Amino acid sequence: MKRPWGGIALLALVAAVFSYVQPRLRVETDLLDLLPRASGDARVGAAIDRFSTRLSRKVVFLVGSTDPGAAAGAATAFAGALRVSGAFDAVQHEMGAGLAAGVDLYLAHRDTLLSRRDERLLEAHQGQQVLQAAQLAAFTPAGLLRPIDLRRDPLGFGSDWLLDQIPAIGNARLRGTQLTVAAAGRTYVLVMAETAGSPYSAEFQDRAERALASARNAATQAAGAPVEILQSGALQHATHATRTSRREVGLFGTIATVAVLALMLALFRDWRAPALGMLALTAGAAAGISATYFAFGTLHLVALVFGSSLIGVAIDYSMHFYADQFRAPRTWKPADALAHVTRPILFGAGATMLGYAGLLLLPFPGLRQMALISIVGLAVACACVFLIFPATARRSGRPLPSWCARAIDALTGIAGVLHSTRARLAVAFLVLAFAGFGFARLDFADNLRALQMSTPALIGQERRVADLLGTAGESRFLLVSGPTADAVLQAEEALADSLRALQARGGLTSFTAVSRALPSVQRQRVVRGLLDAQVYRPDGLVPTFMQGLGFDEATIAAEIDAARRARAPLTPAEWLASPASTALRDLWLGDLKGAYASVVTLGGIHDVAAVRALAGKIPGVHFVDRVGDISAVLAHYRRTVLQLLGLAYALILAALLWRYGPRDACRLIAAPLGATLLTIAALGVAHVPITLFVVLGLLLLLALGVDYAVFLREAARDHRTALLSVSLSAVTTMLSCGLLAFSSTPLIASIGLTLAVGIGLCWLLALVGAGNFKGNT
Amino acid sequence: MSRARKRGAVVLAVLLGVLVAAPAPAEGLFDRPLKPRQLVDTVLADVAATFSTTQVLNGKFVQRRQISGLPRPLTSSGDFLLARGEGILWRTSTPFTSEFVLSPRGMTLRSGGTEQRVTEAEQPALRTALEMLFAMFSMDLDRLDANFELHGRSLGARWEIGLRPRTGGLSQAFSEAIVSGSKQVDRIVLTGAAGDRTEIEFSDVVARSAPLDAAEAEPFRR
Repeated sequence: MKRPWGGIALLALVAAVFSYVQPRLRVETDLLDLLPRASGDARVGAAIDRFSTRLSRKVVFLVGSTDPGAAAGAATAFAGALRVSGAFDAVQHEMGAGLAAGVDLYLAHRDTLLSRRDERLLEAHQGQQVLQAAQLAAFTPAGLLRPIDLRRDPLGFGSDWLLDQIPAIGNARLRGTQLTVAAAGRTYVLVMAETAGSPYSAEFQDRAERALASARNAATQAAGAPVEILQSGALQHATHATRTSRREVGLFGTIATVAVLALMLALFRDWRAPALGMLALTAGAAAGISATYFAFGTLHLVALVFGSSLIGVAIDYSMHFYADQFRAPRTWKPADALAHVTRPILFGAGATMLGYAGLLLLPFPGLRQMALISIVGLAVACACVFLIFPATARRSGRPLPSWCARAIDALTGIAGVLHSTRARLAVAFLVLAFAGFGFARLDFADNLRALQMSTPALIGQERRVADLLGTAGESRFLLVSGPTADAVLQAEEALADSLRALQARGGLTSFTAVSRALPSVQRQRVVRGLLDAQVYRPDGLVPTFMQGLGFDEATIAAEIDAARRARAPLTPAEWLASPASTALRDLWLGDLKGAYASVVTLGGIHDVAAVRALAGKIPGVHFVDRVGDISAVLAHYRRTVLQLLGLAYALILAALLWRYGPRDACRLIAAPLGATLLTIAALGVAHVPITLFVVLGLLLLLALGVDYAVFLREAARDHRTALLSVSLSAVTTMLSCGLLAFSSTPLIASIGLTLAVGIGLCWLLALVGAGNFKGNT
Repeated sequence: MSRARKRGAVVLAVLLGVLVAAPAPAEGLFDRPLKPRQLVDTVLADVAATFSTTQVLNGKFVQRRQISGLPRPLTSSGDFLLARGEGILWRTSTPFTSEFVLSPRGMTLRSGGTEQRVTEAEQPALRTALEMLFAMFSMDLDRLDANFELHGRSLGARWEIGLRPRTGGLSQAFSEAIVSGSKQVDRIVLTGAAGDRTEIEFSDVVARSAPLDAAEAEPFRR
């Protein structure tokens, strides 16, 4: 007997490559990674991407206890543990650090910086009010609120400037150096951090999980009592999604594999059948994953799930091969099978792979991953069947088990039911009525948030953090760009005026902009003009006030001299270098090779239309709604893929017309087309919205449906065996996809449901159609 | 033994006695930080209950502020009203009449017929400042503990609480505070980082557990 050297070489190659890939493989769960990048200015787009990535890495913790002291200690220990873990960067739980640096920065530029309020007073020539406030500060406890002493900051301009810099984080208030919120008898301390790796990387999630566990321990130990730790940010949702999906892929994959192998064992009564089937499957999966790794560097979870549903498809080739023995059980030899099944298998695999190849053309990283993992997986599984099975399968055939023969007869009976024209018309009418009903209730969904993978408990925690802080993390922000740094700052200042007006109308809760701490040079010049004209001249406000209090002339002259020496404007470079800019530094995107940009973050947007309108009014300002943009992209591709589906039907119909002539071509296309329409209708009836991912499922349905119909048509002379092959194939595919419908991830569940219902219908319609071929022959 | 020598011995003994009996004022108070609970149990044992039930506190004050570079302190006097949940009303009668209201909604300054307001939305830090001042005047130890290292000691019928800001934060406005009193807080001394010193003395202080009536609350509402 000839050794299957080709097959052995193939298996060895796949095993070697996969053993190299396996330890390097990273599984990604970020839905955004599935999608193409938004179009527009590439530099700005890249900067937005960077900022959005940072935003997605932010994690907010609230460390709470009934005892404020315990909460403070626990938060310090918690933050310390996160810091040393290496899994988190920029861990922040004390806010005062920038203040001392802020005092120095202000004093060095005191002739160009003013709080908005003081600037307005001087603009309105209300120097008298400034003097009165300064008098009150000198003589009452109002002065105790000032972080700079009276001699260095006689009128309190510096104190006002510094107080202006302290950001409002919703309800959070400074207690000592920590930001805290109090609610229901508990004090919560705010701890902010950024993940050191991508929150969507499975490998990083494990690291973060360990770091969080030890930080929780440290917090409990420091408090000496249980502390409540609330978490908000993408990390926990992504971690949950990875865990759940991995568990489900593992569980469903195992159930499907075991069931399929058990079916093969029962049917072919030979241990080699499931063993060889398993071999082909494993080789296909390993090859698909390896190819994806080499092409993309990572493997997306959704692609992996999609790939796992391949089990049902890839096992088909093994089934077709083995089922061939029932054609002539007594005389069958494995080598005979090739002569009979090669053409249908190649034709079917070719159609499926063509369907996937179409996806490779789309600019969708996620879809291309799905396509590649499927094409390579199927090709290798197919090759295993051709190269290994003939030499390794048992040398003789066995007859069809009687239970199976009865099942096939029953199926043929179902197909025969529709032989009369009247029955056909009745069924057609029912189908049309159902389709009409379903189509009328059809619902489309492209909202990314609806597709996010999370649980009510985690979403509840997210909402509780937002409630306690009084502000939700907004994924929408404004991007300000311009030809120079100062142009950006000037545009920001114009924008800030409009945003304050919007705030006053209740359209917006808060916003944060760099220009609050770093005014444009233009505005700093205006401020300097005001200070020179009204404050630091010999009869200005400072000398007047200081003389009134009783300072001697030398001290007053020194103060004026110091202010005059501090007249150089504050520059972005100097600001960025000072610890005073820590809190706002991230918002300054800086020089993007010829263009400058900054981000203005928003809190609590109540009037989205008004914010969007602002972006149109002020040049250089763009409203960035990444989730909204992605939803729009999803909608766009949902429509595109639907059109592609139509095109694919046209192409396949043309191929069938050329091969089988008009009459049979229409019958062959009827199975996938009818199944697709009925599946869409069924989804409408079940109120499952049509998403891009459902449409992709429909594309797969076309490939499988054509495969079934053609296989039955090609093998029309041996109808029973072909019927068995196709039925086995449909049952196994329905099984592996049907399990996906039970996924707790809506995205995966919708793909599973579409495929399970669709393939069931495809199979049924192909049987009915095949009944007609039989009738004709 | 001669009378003279005997008298000399008595004088010496009295002097020694005085030296031993009178503790050095600044020494000792800041020796070791204490927890609020410890202060309530020891130094403030007699008055802690009154402090915690006080809703409204009013009285007269004299504030003396010594600023480096100024030959004489800046002195003002007037009356004050503290109401839990409402804020602080501070009225000076000398050297000029003015009104300073700090409430959770913001700060209002009235003097010479004009009024200036800074809302909490404009300066979120105001609320923190109010909470801190209020805690100091009303001896809210838990709140003070969040911002300051606490110290304390008894001096006969009187007590002294020392406050040192924990690192950073707004409390940088002064480096050390001593709040002292007997039945009520009657003296606050703040030492600033640049050598400034503010001393506020209270007199005729009345504490009550009943909230403000409508007329009293009026300045906070305006």
